[in-house]
Amino acid sequence: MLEIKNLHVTVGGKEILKGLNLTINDGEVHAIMGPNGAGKSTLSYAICGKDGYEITEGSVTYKGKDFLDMNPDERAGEGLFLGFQYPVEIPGVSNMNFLRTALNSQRCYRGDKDMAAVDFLKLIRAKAKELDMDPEMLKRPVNVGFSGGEKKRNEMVQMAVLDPNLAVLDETDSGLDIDALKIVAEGINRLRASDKAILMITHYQRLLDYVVPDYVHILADGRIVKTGDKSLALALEEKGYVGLGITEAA
Amino acid sequence: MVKILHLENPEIGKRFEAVRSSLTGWDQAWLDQLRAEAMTRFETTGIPGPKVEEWKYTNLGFLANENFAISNKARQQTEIKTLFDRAHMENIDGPVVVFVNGHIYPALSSYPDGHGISFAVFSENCQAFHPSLANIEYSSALNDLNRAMVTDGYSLEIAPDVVLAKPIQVIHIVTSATDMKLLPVRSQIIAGKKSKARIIETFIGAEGERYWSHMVSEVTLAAKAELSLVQFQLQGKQAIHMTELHTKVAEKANFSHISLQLGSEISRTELLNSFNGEFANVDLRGAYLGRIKQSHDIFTRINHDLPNCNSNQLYRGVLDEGGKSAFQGKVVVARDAQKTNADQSNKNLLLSRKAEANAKPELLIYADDVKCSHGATVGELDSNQLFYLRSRGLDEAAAKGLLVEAFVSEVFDDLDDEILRDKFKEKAAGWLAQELPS
Amino acid sequence: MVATKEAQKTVEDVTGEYKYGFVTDIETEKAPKGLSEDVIRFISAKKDEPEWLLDWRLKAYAKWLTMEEPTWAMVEYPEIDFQDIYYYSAPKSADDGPKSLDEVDPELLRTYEKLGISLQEQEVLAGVAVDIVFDSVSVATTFRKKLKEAGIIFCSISEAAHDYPDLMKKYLGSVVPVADNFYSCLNSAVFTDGTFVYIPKGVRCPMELSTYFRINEANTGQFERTIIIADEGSYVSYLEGCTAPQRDENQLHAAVVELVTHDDAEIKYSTVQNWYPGDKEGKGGIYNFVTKRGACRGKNSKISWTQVETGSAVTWKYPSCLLIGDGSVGEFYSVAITNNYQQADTGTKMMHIGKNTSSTIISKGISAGKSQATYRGLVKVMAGAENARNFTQCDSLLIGDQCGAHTVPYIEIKNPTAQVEHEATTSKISDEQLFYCLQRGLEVEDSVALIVNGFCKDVMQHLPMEFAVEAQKLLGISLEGSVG
Repeated sequence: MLEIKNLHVTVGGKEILKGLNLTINDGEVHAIMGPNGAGKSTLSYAICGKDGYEITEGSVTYKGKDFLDMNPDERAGEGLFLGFQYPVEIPGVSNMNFLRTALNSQRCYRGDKDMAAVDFLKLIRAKAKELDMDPEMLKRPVNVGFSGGEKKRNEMVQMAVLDPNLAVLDETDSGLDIDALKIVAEGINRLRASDKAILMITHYQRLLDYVVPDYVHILADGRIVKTGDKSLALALEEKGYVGLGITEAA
Repeated sequence: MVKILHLENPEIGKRFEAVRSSLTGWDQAWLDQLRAEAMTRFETTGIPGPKVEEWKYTNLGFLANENFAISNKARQQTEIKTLFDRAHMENIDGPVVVFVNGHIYPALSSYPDGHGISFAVFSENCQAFHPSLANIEYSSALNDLNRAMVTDGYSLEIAPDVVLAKPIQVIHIVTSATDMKLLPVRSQIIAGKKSKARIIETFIGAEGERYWSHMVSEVTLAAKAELSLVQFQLQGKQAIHMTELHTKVAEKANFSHISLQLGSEISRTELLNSFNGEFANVDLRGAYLGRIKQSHDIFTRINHDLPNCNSNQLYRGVLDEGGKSAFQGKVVVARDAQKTNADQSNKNLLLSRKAEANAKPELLIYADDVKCSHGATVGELDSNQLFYLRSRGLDEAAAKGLLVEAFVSEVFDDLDDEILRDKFKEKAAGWLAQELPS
Repeated sequence: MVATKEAQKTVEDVTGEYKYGFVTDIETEKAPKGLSEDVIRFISAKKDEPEWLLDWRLKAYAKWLTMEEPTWAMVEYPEIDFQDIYYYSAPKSADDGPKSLDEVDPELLRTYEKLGISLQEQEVLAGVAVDIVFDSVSVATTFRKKLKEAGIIFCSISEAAHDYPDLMKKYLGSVVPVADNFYSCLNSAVFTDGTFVYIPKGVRCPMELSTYFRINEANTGQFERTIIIADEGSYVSYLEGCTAPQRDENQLHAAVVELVTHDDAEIKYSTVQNWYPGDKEGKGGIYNFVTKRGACRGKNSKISWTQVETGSAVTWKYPSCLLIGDGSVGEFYSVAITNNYQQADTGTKMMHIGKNTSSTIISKGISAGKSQATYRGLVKVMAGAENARNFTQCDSLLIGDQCGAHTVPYIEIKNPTAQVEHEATTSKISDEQLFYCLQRGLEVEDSVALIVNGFCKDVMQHLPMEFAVEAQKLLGISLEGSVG
């Protein structure tokens, strides 16, 4: 589904990713872990095409298409979803209106008709219920006045409604208490399917207790330095980066 | 080096003399005399120049250089109907008053009537306007020019305890006739004790026409009256649009004004309020959207002479390529006006390199037990919000549109009339769709 | 409202009784009253000035004759008779030029001792060099030697005209042009003294430079001219403090301060202004019409104005920054406290011209008695000023119901990448706040002082230590430390 080859990314004149390779196939769940400043968030922004993340070398291919040629919204239309580490607050735009506009924009991109208002309402109510979100929150402006946990839950509701093929989740688990973590994990697990893929970027092993990855990668100094299965995350938890022979400047 | 504060244009006086005997109500001596006196005052004062502080951001130079003639009663019926349909909200099933080129247009009008409502039109009943024409308490150069040249207008008096079930729509249409330029119109509204009403005024004009629409309104609210005045400004892109609104608000009365400035090359909205009684509330809000040579100027002055009154001002501006704006809000709290609450909020969004926003939110406070604040910001769209929306699949234009709409929606989100709210949204969205790059 | 009355009294204690109200009796040499070309020639001759400077003055005078006094500020005062003012007066002993403190008129030294700014003491005290202006002529300069070693020029403006004509020609009037405004133009014609500072490339001035101004002679206008230049990568902190003896006649003061920073340089300019504000009936007091402006010409340079304005009957003052160099920074921190019949119209102008320029404005106005305090400020972002940032906060505190507090901000933005925020509030000391303090055992005066101090804290913390103490005294906040 996603193939990243020799990716070099520069931010503000500084090279953050230095030749990263990563292949994600249909149905797989990958987790990327790494010390602070390794380039984890940079990877997620580069995949999604944020301004200011300059690709100096390498390629990102999604379902055989060159991702780097596309705008962020075109990539979303192709089925990419980014769960933000810090979801953005947008005063004045209601959650409902926002999601409906987003969904219909994506449908339009794919050549589908707009979803009827009634169907949309049913869909969003159902998804909110699944993820235990108070329907009142759908009427509130996007993320404004939401707690950290509510914001992350809101990201999961959006993901459920938009139903992407590839979800990149940037520290979706950070700042959550155990109950919220379980809900988020459930949101992710619901998305798992043979034709979908998930890339989780996380600091801690604990999310992986609930969402078991097929592969665990360790990102350090702009490259993937180690790849393994779930046990790698456990080893990391036990021994730390240094214990695994990875230093900050590896 | 004496600064030249006022401009002159002797042509205006000459033109007045030339048309004096054909102006509305020319055969009534009192009116002719009041017109002549007003013209003398206007000529003595002169046209405020750019060095006059109040006119810092709107240049009246056009008045010194261009000669505006009084309009004729043009009758291009198809065009009138087209413009009328764009302005008229037919799902609001209430009275409609239509002026075309500054003259009442009875064919499309259905005057407000019924118990406790006195309605008059200037060209049909000049006498009803005597108070507003004779009272020079509200004196300014442009008000005097309006007094001298006024072609038409309306007067509405609502008796105590009368509640208008339906809003009154007033539609000012300017057609593409070449023989008319100046449209001086007046209105006076008196809301009786505990009465309640809403007036929706729409200004709409043909594209490609240079004309100057000037409206003076005098509004009085008796105790506990509630009046809402809503204005849509959809003038043609070369028009000059000015309104001067004087309000007097009595004890426990509520006055609210919401405006949307979309059209015209130059617009100037003056809102001048004084309180007549305590515990009264005034709420002024508006959105102005400008681009290509457009300039919008909101000028407010709220005099808190009495204690325990509240005033709130909320203005949002969006300026695109070549657009310019000014918000000049002044709150004056007199010595005895304790427990005054006054707030001013002005935020501006610049969408283009060649856009300009000016703000001068002024607070002059002479009482100590008051809560007064103001805030003003200017900035561009937040790039993080933009990226967030685009990562969810909205293209650039849609994302910008949504953010701009959210930005201005604060102005009309609290409106209690859904039809009006939708109208604001529709008009604002129309501007955005037209203007934002796709 | 007992509390408010007592609050007023506290403010009177702070600002009302002018404890520096005494007159020093020194023979002075004056130019004839009034202003004419002859008087200007007299001043110039007295100063033994070069020809070009006299010409410059005369041109300014010719220009001034065509100008009108500005009327837009919210201040009212009787018309000034500019022909009823002495434009030059100097202590006689200054003609010989005292070489050291020993040569300074002992009467003068005693005056300073009464004010608590003994020179001898200051020479010993850590790091303060003082260039004292008594009326219009420098009488003593200390620490000059030490500064000279660092290559720093710190001298009177008259000396600079003699000794550094090239620098003077280059910078005089370069930030505040002769015809900038009525008062700056008057100053250009008749300025009698002031300070000239030049910090060479890469030098960090080893001490705070400080000048105490005093107005002493009745009917004498003070027309200081100060120029400070910080060359590439240099830094200087300059302190200006003022106290003036009590007089009945109003005294006019129209100073001009010009600051220039080159690449990566920084000037920090702090003022405590405590001139005679007039008596309780509004009689007397200084008219203070000052033009202060800094030009951040170099990249990443910075100019920071901090002022505590407690004195003067009428203040008209807008320390401003021209942010020309890319990445330059302008700051304005102000406390203005007015009482009795004082009037202050003060604020700043931040002109964003270069890219990535930023400015901060924090203004705190406190009005008591029958006084009027106005904040008037302009934030302007020119079309080429990419990514300009401004944050403005102006708060007013009213004590008593006979005073006024006004806020007149102008915001003019011509670049979409600008982010400009302005916030203002007006409030009084709340009964709840006061009660809370009283309940915790504070006396009313101390409570008010505490609250006022808290209100001003954002500004006061920007003052250099040397000044903070004096400023705190002026605001009556001596208890701050003990109350916490």
